[in-house]
Amino acid sequence: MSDKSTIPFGPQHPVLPEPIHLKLVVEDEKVVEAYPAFGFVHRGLETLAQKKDFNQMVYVVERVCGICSCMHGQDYCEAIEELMGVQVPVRAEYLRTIWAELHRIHSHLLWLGLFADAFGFENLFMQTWKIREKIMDILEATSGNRVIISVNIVGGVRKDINSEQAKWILKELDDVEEQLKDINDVVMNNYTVKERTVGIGVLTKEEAYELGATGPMAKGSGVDLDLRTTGYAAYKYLDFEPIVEKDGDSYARNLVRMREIFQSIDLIRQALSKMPEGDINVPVKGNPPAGEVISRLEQSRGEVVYYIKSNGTKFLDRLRIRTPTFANIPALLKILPGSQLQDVPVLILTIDPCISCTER
Amino acid sequence: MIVNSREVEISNLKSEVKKYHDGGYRFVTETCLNLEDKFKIIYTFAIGYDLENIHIITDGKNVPSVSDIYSCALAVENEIKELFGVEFDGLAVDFGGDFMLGESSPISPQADIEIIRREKGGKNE
Repeated sequence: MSDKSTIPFGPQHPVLPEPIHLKLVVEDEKVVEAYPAFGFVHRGLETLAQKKDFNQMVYVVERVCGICSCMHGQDYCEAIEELMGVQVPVRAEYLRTIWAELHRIHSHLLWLGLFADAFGFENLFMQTWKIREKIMDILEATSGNRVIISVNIVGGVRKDINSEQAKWILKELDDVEEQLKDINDVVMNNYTVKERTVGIGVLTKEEAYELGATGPMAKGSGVDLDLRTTGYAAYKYLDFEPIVEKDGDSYARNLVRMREIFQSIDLIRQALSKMPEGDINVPVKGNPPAGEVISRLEQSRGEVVYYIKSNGTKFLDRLRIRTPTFANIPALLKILPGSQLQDVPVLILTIDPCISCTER
Repeated sequence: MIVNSREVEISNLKSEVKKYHDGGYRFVTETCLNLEDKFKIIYTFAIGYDLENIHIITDGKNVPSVSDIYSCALAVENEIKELFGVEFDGLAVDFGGDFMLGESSPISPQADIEIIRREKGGKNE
């Protein structure tokens, strides 16, 4: 005979990097229902758009989330630029792409470390974070900051990468790639990793699409959507294909992120080799005209959607940010029921949750 | 993308959303805006990489939930309910105000108009 129990999971839990609370209804060791609760770090950043002018808001959106910081700033700036009819210089497009891909690498490596830690593979955690430090060094050397690099402005970027820095970045990326190849073998073939991920948390392609999943969560289920292929920033000048896996389990999502790291290295190499000389920003005068715009780009965790309504003044009427983790919550709620309690940490981390983004 | 959203009557909302669902569109999000004494809710759908938007104008009461058509809409509708005080009829899962805000949080903090939805007692702050 089995009884149902309700177990609180989080907001403070050893495997959770950020506060999310789940009420798990379990029958013996099997999860039968899951109810989420957020709000522990809700900051109301969207409402600041009515109090800070549209240029100051770049700094605000960069603080929606540290790990996606650069891409939040980029998407916001691209939205304002579209509203104002501003065309940024081609070199700025390349620079935005390079910094965005560096962020994708360090985000995926951070996630991989946390994921490994969630199932007790601490050595993998330490190795991935050691490699990630090289990327953080590149960010610091090129922008002056490690995490919130604040390079995007409306009209382009505020920092440049000179040829000496470009050579050094390429050398560092060679080292990163070499070390990643060792880890790649572990992630793909290690018994412990496969035991804890293969067949765990399966989300079919149809379910992923129906539930609005995005990023590696959707790509791991065979949904072939990657906004970079629409050609924003400098992606229109680069050769790449979206990375898609078909099995829809935690292992497949793992593979997508791992392969995306190698893809990002390739994209940075392409961008550095093709980046033309020229200005890095254009002067932007006046306020955004009245109007509404939606801008999207592919963050490490998936599609981020910025909606902006301007009233013609320097303050925006409305800023709304639909973050990828928010879009992946329904998918998480889909894969939790039916899982074993021991797999809950793995399943939560498999969506690469960013609660800071989700709550804004 | 400059937003070109089409207004639909609230009475037609679900049938319009159903058309998008049956047409293979994925649900992207809902966005709530304050108007003077009403709310505008924009529904965004995507097929491939293309977006389409429709919107309704509402006083915030008895808005039909589309979470029975797109179950993933329940997250954003719970958020709008808490942040703006908009009432949705037929929410697939109603988190009762505990989804995005805590017990001591302000009520409907993003709403310009005062709509008090007390479900746990206490006063509007």
